[in-house]
This record gives sequence, structure tokens and C-alpha cells, in this order.
Amino acid sequence: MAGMRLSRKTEFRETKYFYLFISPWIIGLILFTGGPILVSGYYSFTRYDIAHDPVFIGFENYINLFHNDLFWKSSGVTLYYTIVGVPVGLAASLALAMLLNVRIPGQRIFSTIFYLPSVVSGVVLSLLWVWLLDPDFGVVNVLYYKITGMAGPQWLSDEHWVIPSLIMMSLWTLGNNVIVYLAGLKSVPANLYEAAQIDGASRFRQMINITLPMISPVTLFLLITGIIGSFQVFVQADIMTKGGPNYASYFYVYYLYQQAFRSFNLGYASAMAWVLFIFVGVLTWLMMRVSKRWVHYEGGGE
Amino acid sequence: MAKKWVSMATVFSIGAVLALSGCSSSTDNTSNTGNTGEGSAGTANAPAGGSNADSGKKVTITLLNAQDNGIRDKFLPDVVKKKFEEANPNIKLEIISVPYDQFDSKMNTMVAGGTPPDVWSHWGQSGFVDYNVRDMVLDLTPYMNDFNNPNISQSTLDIYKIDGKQKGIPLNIYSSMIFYNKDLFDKAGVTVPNYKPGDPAWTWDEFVELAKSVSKDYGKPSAVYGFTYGMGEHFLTYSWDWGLDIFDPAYATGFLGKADLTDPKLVDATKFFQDLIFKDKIMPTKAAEESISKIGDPLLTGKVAMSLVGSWAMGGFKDTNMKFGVLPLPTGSAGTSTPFIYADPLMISSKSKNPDAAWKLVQFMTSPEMQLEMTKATGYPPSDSVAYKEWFNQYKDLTDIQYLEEVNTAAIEKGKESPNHLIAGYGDITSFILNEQQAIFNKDEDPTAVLKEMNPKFQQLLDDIKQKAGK
Amino acid sequence: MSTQKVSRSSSISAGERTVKVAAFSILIILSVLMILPLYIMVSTALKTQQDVFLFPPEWVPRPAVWHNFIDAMHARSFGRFFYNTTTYSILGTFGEVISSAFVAYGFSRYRGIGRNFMFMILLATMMIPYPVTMIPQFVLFKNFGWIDTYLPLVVPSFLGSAYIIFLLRQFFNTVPVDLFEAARLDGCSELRTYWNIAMPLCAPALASAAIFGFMYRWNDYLGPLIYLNTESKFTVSIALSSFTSMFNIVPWHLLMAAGLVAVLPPILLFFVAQKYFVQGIVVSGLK
Repeated sequence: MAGMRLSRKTEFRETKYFYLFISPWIIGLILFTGGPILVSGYYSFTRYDIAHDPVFIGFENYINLFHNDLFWKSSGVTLYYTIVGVPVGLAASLALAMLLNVRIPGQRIFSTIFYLPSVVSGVVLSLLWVWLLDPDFGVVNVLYYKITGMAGPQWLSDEHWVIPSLIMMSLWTLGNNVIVYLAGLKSVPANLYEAAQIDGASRFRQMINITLPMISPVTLFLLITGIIGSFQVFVQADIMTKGGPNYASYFYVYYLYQQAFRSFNLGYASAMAWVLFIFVGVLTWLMMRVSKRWVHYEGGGE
Repeated sequence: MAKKWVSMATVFSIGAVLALSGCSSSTDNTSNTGNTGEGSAGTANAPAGGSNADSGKKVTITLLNAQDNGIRDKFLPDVVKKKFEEANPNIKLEIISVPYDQFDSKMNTMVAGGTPPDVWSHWGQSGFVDYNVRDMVLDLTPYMNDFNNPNISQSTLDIYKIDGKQKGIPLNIYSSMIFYNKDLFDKAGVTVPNYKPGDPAWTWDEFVELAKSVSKDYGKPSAVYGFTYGMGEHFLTYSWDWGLDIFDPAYATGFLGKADLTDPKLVDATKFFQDLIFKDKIMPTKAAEESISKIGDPLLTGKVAMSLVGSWAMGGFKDTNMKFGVLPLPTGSAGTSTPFIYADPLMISSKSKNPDAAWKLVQFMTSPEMQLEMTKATGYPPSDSVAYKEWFNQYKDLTDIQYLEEVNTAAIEKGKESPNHLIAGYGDITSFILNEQQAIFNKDEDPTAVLKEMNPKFQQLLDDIKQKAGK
Repeated sequence: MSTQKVSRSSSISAGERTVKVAAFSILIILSVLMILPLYIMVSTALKTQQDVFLFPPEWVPRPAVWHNFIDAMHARSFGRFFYNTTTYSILGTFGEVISSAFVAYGFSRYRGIGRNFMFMILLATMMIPYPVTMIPQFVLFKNFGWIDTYLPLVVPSFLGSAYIIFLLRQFFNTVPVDLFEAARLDGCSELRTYWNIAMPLCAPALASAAIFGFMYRWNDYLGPLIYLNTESKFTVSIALSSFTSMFNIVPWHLLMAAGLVAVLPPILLFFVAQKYFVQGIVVSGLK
């Protein structure tokens, strides 16, 4: 961006087409998405119990928030889940996508198998894993007992195992990420590898020097959306663990939802949402900035 | 105005898409219009079904229901709606049935959107009181002269009489009892005596002995536990029969101002139930119990011989044809035995545009005839004492129904309404208890110390609930 | 394609062979792991309600109760729900992919003033948790008179969605810029360049975007639940979650049976659509 100066004429032209192309999204923002977001911002400065009109109370919700143990606890839990879950998920997706990119027979079947779990509907998925991880009846512990002769962990009911359990479950539903990576791998021009082979570069070198840079835009996408999604985990906590045991799975958005819909504190919940928003926003902005160093755009876009 | 903008936006975006197809090759073009055609047929269908023909002075009322695997959610449209509309030709009843786990989302968006359901019950995770303290519930006192089901007792009605105002009419009443899996006792060769409700010989110590006779393989995958406390998240209520109800001051207002968790009576009661796990080894740890009950009723799984639970559990026994028995709640150290009762009230929204029509529905659903029909069709216990006979009857192949009636009637008489319906912010309190109790019921830590540590946190939570509610 | 074939046939080295055998074996093992939970779903779906809790659990239910599938489909009007969900998912996905691709191209291709700012706004719209915007959005659509219709679920899709825009923008960014410059020199209009050059190049990404869009709608249930009131308009995902109940009595056999049937349409779509991204167009081939 900084490297090239655009002439005014070009700049005008680029701006014109830019806004022409993004106009559908801008209209959607104005009509449907922007308004509710701003309104939730307003709610965050009010006491709003849904039944009565919102009452303006300034920063009270924010102040309460930072004095609340549960806020910090749920932030901690969510961070833990994100920091472990997202990188592990990305690495596993990439590995799977690379396996699926090897030219061997049966790949369509394999990729369908890997995608299958991602198709299972949210509520059914959560209930299925409750069943699988059941310490007595669940297949995980039944196999564990067969192999080791010992009783397995209590998984979802054990405060140290609950987050690892949920990460394990998220690894089972990597399908979407694998697909994005696979699409990325398929877009890497074959002639790059040919050139490298002629130069005698090893497979490992090829991966480091060609594959990873070429799919880095995809990685950036998965990283950012992964983090955003991971900060918003809700269904698992609501259906599988109720935030327990000992707050070990008391996810941020679960807490937020409880406040908004079960304790009638929509103002407080909105304040929570905006704190999350600002946190993730800053994080994303930083990642976008740093990404200029490691993300390679063939089009020279950024 | 807003509508106009929307259609303009739609036209614009479609225009942009069309402009594109104009530039594309012809084969692409046809395939796209094919798609759009198929799609728009779909939208055309949707609004057509939704438009309600305005037919003059007919009023419409809505009832919000939580789906329950086709039990109540079949009964409501098939029987209630049909018969109610027949009896009241100028009222249209609209029933909205949503999954249980999202009842709260649906309810609250409807309220916030200014279109609350006219009639509902606390079928989500919030209790009656949460609606009541936010002025969402209409005072039914003026209608009560018109209430004419003598089979619903005054004490039943009084559960939802707050500050002298009738706020809801119970539709169902569930009691709680100790249920046991008869096969497990038969296998162990143990006969369970039928204690009279209130029999002083039927103490918790006696109960422990009974439970020990069927417990085995403690802590192993093949374990059978003598007992689970099916309402475990309410451990602050364990002390009811130890002479203390810490929620007592809140029943009048809905808000608990102060509570002392270090009260020796609470400590004793807690210690007693902790011992059932770690000393007597008749009860699983909370973690194990949660796992067992996550997948279904503990008795049905055959992992547990006895369970203190609400009478709703009987629905599951019926579905699986499980032979079961009941026992009254044993007597605690204070000499009392106080089971939970759970009454689901029908409430009318304070914002209802047709409260009279809504009242007609409430009256209809709590009438002797409909209470009987409901019991027959759904298997849920009614609040009408005559219809209750029918309810017992449904279990005649599975248990001794005469004894069941005796225990159940006494339980409703002596029982106390569950605090989650009467204490505001109980969702937060439940979360707190569920999480904080781990130290006691999973790790065998000293209850005195744990409760002492919990005390200031609990106070802070109570203050927080009041403050957020603006009280 | 052709270039790759040449290079392949010229050298199937021993190393390459090992890689292929290893990859195949790993894939088999992983497939078993992936399928195991699904197998449990199938075997639970075929049990009687009593046998669900047999201990130790049965791997192969005897007898297999195929009737559970019929019972599950009759527990609610699933036929109707499948029709509803399919229609709205196809329509919404179509709108979403078409509009998002358009917007994503704008973000990727043109260096308009304020682009970075706009892009941050786009990302920001994904960061606010849905529970807090749900109520204002409900009020908004209520004012439009759209409650109990599919409009709130379909119309916004035609104006792009942040997730898909972001995804496609990343793919457009990988297309070499000289391709577009060449098109421009050839006198092709901006729209034609977009449609004839950018879109085909990103076919793999478009196919995955379509699958994600479809799957998202197929499984989303908070949206339909909030906006729809009449049961005959409900979707499959609502019907699936209606197997949960207040008293924690889940009919596991029916839930699993219905869950399995609900998986079929999207997985079928996936199987068909993957042709487009698994054999994606290789950029160099066009150069």
C-alpha cells in the first residue's frame, strides 16, 4: 500500500468501483446489522430488564462487570479454550487437508467422512458427545476400560477434563476448516512445486517455502474467524455442562446469555458483549497488522 | 417508510446481480435464472401462509408452550385449542410451541418486541417470581370470583398468591418422593417396608441402612448406588428438615436480602449428605451423579436404586415399563419431613391486549373437565384433586397405587413450593451453588470451612441480584 | 491439470510411493476415529428405549429396531420441516454466495479510500455476540411486519455475510493481479472481469462458501426459532432440539435416528459439490 502512490485519477476510479462492489454489504449494514449493534451499545449503558423501558445508568454495568468474579472467571475459561483450541484446531485441519491433498484413490470418500461430523446439528452434536463421554455408558470410557482395566476420567463432570473434552469434541468437527485449507492447497500453482523440484528442494522445504506462504491468507482467515467463534462458544456449555463443574466451562457467552435471557439483565449482558467486542476487535486489528509480515498475497492485495 | 427502504435495497442488489449476468456468457445466465426462479417460489410461499385474514371482531390470544416430546405439545393443539375455540367462537387461540432449551429466548424476544404471549407458564429456566418481580404478570384477583373449580384447594391457589394478589393458577402440581427401582431391590432380596408418611421411625439413619443393602461396587464402572439426591443443585435446602430454611425471609418479596450460610443447622445437614457419599458410600459423588443424570433418569439407567426426585420422573418409568416403589421423605433431625412441591401456574401477561379472553383460557384449562382430560392425555399430575385419581390409575401396573396416593397426598400437604419459583435470580443462585458445592461433594472438604468461604460470595451475589433488578 | 499429469507420470519415485502409502494408512485410521461416534449414533438409533441403558452397552443392538426411524420422523411433521429447511437454505445460500462474492471482490481488487476501515467494520460485525443483537433485530423485523415469515432469514442473505465475504476476499487476494490488468487492457469491463475471470478462478472457494452457507442455515435454529411462530413453518433444526425436555428425559433412540436422517441432505450436497473444489482449477493452468 505504502509502496505505490496512486494517481488521483486512478484513486478516484478505484474508490468508485470499490464502493460499487461493496454496496450490497453497506446496504445490509445500514438496514439490518448496523442498527441492532448500535442499539446494543446503547443498552450497555442502561438497566434493561426487557419488561420495562431501558433506564440510563451511565457506566454502572461496566463498573459492575469488572468487579464481578464470574466475569473474570468466564473470561479466563474462554481464553484457555481459545488459546489451546484454536491453534490445535488449525494444525489438525492443515494436516488433514494435506493428507486429503495427496493423490491417492478414495479421496472423495475420505473427505466426505471427515466432513460428516460437521454436518451434525448443534444440539444433537452436544447431546451425542454427552453420551460418548459418559463415564459409564460412553464409548470412550468403555474402550478405555477394555484397554487399561481402569475407570476412565469423569470427562465433562471433572473440572480439569471438561475443557480438554470440549476441545476433543471440536476436533471432531473440523470439517469446515479442512475444506477451506483444501481449497487453499488446490489453488497453489503446480508450477511452483515443479520449479522447486528441479532445484532439488526437499518435501519439507517445499512445504515451508511454498505451501505455507501460499496458503497464509487462508490461515489468517481461519485464525481470525476461529478466534471470533471460539470466544462465542455457547451451545456446548448450555446443553452439556451448564458451565460447570466449579465454573470450569463457564464460557463468556454462556454467562452473557444467562444474564440476558435468564436473569433479565440485558443491559449488563450488552456491556459484556461490548467488552468482548472491543477485546476481540483490538486483537483482530493487531493480527491484521502483524499479518502483513507473514501473509503472502499473490495479488499483492494488502 | 422502512418497508420502502427495504424493497429499494432488494431491488438494488438484484439489479446489481442482473447487471452482472448481462456481462456473463449465456450458459451461466440460464443456470442462474433457473436458481432464482426456484428460490422466489419459496419466498412467495412463506408470507402467504403467514398472513392472517382479518375477520372482524374475533380476538386472538397466544399461549407459549415448551415442547416436551409430543406430550403437552400435542395435547394443546389437538384438544385444548379445538375445544376452547368451539366453546368460545369469537376467540382464536394461537399456540406457539418451542423447544425447552430455547423457551427463554423466545419468551424474552416476544416480551421485548411488545408482543408477549397472553398466557404462559414458567416452562423455561426462569421461575414464576422472575416474571412477577418485573411486573410481567397480571393480577388475577378481580377474576377470582369467577373461578369455579372447587377441586383446586385454597392452599394450592395460595402458592401463587403474592402480597394478597392471585398471580397464577396452578395447572400441574408435582410432588417429590423417594422413588426406587423395584427390580434392584428384588435382585438383592430386600423388601422395602411401606412407611406411613410422618412415621417417626422412618428416619434418615434408617434410610441409610436400607440404601446400604442395595449398594455395590462403589466407584467402579459397574457400581450400583443406593441413592441419589435428584434435586442436588438445591443443597442449600438440605437443611429444611434440620430446622432451617435460609430462603424463608424471601418468600414474601422474592428477594433474599441476607443469608447466613455458616448456620450450624445448614452445616449439619450438609455434613450428613456429604457422609452419604464418602462415609456411608451409598451415594455417588456429584461428578458421578451429574454424569449419570446427564443421560437420563438415574433410576432408569439401573445405576441407582433410590432417588429423591419430583414426580415428573414417573413419566419415564411409564415409557420404559419400569416397576417402581415410593417412600416418603425420611424425617430429619428437626423431626420434620418437608418435600419439595412444584406447581406450574398459568399466568396472564400484564401487557395482554385481551385479558378477558386470556382469563377464559386459564379458566378453561384449570376446569375439572380439562384437568381430567389433561391428566389422561399427558400423564402429568393435575392440580385438581379429583383428576389426580386418574393420574394414580395410570401407574397401577407398575406400583402400589394406594400407597402412592397416600405418600403423594401427604407430600403435597406438607411440602413447600420449590424456591426456584419463588426467589428472584434463582438461575444465578443455582449456578453459584452448583459450582461452589464441588469442594464438598466431590472432594470431601470440610463443610464448615467451605460454607464459611462461600458466605461472603453468596452475600455479594444476593446484593448483585437486587442491584441489577433495580431494587 | 495437464502439466501435473506430465510431472506425475514422469517420476513415481519410491519416496512418493511411501508418502502415498503412509497417507492412505493414516487416513484409514483417522476415518475409523471419525466414524466411531457416528456408529454409536447409528447403534443407539436402532435400540429400544430400554436397551439404551444396558450395561455394558451393546455394540450391535439386538434386535435392530429400524422402526425407530419411522417413529422419529412421525414424532413431528419432519416431511414438512425438510421441505421448509431445504427451500430456505437453498435460497438464502444462493443470495449469500452471489452477493458476498461481489462484495469480496470489491474488497480484494480495489484500493478505494477507506478500504481498511470498511474491512475492519466488516470483521467487527462478526464480533458482537448474537444474544445481545437478537432483541433489537427482532424489534426491527417486527416493525417491518416480517415476523412469522422467512423474510428475516432470507432477505439479509442477499446483502452478503461477513464470514463468507472475508473467506472469498482471502481467495481473491491470491489471484495474481496481472490477470486482471491483462483483462483490463483487453478492454473488458470491470464487471466482466469479475464475472469471467475472478469468479471461475475462485470456483473452489465458491463451492466451499456455498456448502458453509447451506450448512449454516440447515443447522441454525436460534434464527428460525425467534422469527417463526407457526409450527408448520418450523425447520428441521428446531424439530431436532425439541427432543430435549424440561425433565431431562431425552428419547435417545429417536433423537439419534432423527439426527441421522437430518444429516443426509447436507452430506449429499457435500458429496456432489466437492467435485468443484477437490478438482479445483489450478491457477497456473490458465496463465
